[in-house]
Amino acid sequence: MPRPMPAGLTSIYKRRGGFAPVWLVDVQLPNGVIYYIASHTGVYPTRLGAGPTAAYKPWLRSCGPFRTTRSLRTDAGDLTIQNISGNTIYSDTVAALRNEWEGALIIVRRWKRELDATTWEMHGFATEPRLGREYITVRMLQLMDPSDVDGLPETYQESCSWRFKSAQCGSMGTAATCPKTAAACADPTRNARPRFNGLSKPPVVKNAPPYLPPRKLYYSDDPRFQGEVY
Amino acid sequence: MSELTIIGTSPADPLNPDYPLELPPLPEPDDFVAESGEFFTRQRNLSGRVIPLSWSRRPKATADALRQMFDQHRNGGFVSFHHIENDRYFSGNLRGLRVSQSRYEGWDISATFYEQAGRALYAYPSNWARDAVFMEERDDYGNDLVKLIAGWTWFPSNGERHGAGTYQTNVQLAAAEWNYLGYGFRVWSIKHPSLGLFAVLLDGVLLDWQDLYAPASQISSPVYTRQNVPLGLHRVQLICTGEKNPLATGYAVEADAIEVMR
Repeated sequence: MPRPMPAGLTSIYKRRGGFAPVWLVDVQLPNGVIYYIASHTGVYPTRLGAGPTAAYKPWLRSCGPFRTTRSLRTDAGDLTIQNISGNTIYSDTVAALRNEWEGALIIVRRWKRELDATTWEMHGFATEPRLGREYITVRMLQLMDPSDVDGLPETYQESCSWRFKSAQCGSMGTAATCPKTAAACADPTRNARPRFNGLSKPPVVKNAPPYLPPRKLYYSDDPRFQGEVY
Repeated sequence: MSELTIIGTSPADPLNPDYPLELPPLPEPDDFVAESGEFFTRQRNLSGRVIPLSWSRRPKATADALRQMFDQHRNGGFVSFHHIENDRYFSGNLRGLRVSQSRYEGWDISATFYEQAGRALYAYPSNWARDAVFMEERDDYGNDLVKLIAGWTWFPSNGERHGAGTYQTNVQLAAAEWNYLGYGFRVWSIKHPSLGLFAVLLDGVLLDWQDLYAPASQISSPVYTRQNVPLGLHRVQLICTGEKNPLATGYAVEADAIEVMR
């Protein structure tokens, strides 16, 4: 499903000239401190904090490239922040980095000034801050990593795993207990068959003919011929 | 205030750089040329001019004065540069000062003046005929240059309006916005017996209300001027107030063009 675009974006991008979009970065450290950093100075609406706007510091040197994947596992990008401004003891960015940045929540937005709207947004967390003489680079990883999910929440088995009459079960029947079989679930006193999450065995057909191997074909005048021909 | 520290206070100022000195334009936008050959531009650099300055064969006193000024304002300060020939002031920083002696009592000095956006100017540019450019409501390809909010109607020019036409509305609180990189601006519009009042905002701050009523139709001319604006990316909004002069017959306002100082 395509992402919805802000209204009026098409008419803005049709123009032959205009202003480059602004990169806005909202960073919330684990201790709750929020920094607002952008590629161009200005006052912009925020995504973190009380808002609705904040003065963004023009510390962002570069943003991205950001890679996105269908599996979400390796969505990532780099942020480069200047490390020059400040006093003779600490640069501004290093002073900020004295707090723990590992795991900080980051929201990166591509802000189109003519539209006063975001055209692209990514949420992630910070990791691997690398300090350089002029720049500081922070790696931004996606919030959800499917590899961090430990397997399946339940085992697949023949019987149902829901607790009888729980919200997942949904049975409103009159029975007080449930043996957790498919037949019992379909019983009118329980009537929760759509919620049954066990794996049923294939149904057994009564009086079915036994399996017979294919018979050899003989001519009728052959002494080994014993009856019908298949 | 640092803008009071001026390089070139008068034609007799020994700190005047060598002339003639051609003023470069504001930073050019990034160009993208499609395979068809069509140009698309995006303004990324929002800083000011980069002006190379030189002082040739000057006495040592001039070299010392420039060196001292450079050291004084290199950390968190800015100075004004007065271009004597164009009579324009710029606020910014000196960088890359080089001083060398070329002969006895003759010193060659060079530096680059980086104009900084957002700095107050000693005096704001006022030569609209020479230094200003127009921003119409549409570009030459028919795309809107102005952002329109609520109902605006396009009217082709009848010879009275600036450019190819204008947008008009009588919807209260309908707004037209221009974004520009520059200094001050002027709003152009016709005046007409059927037009009302509009409000002018700069960067979200209300500046004034303007009455577009006139007993007889007048061709497009500057109806509002805001000159004292530092260099930067600015947003001009024209908002239909829904009010009118008691003698006017209507409430409509027009977004014809703005003239921006560059």
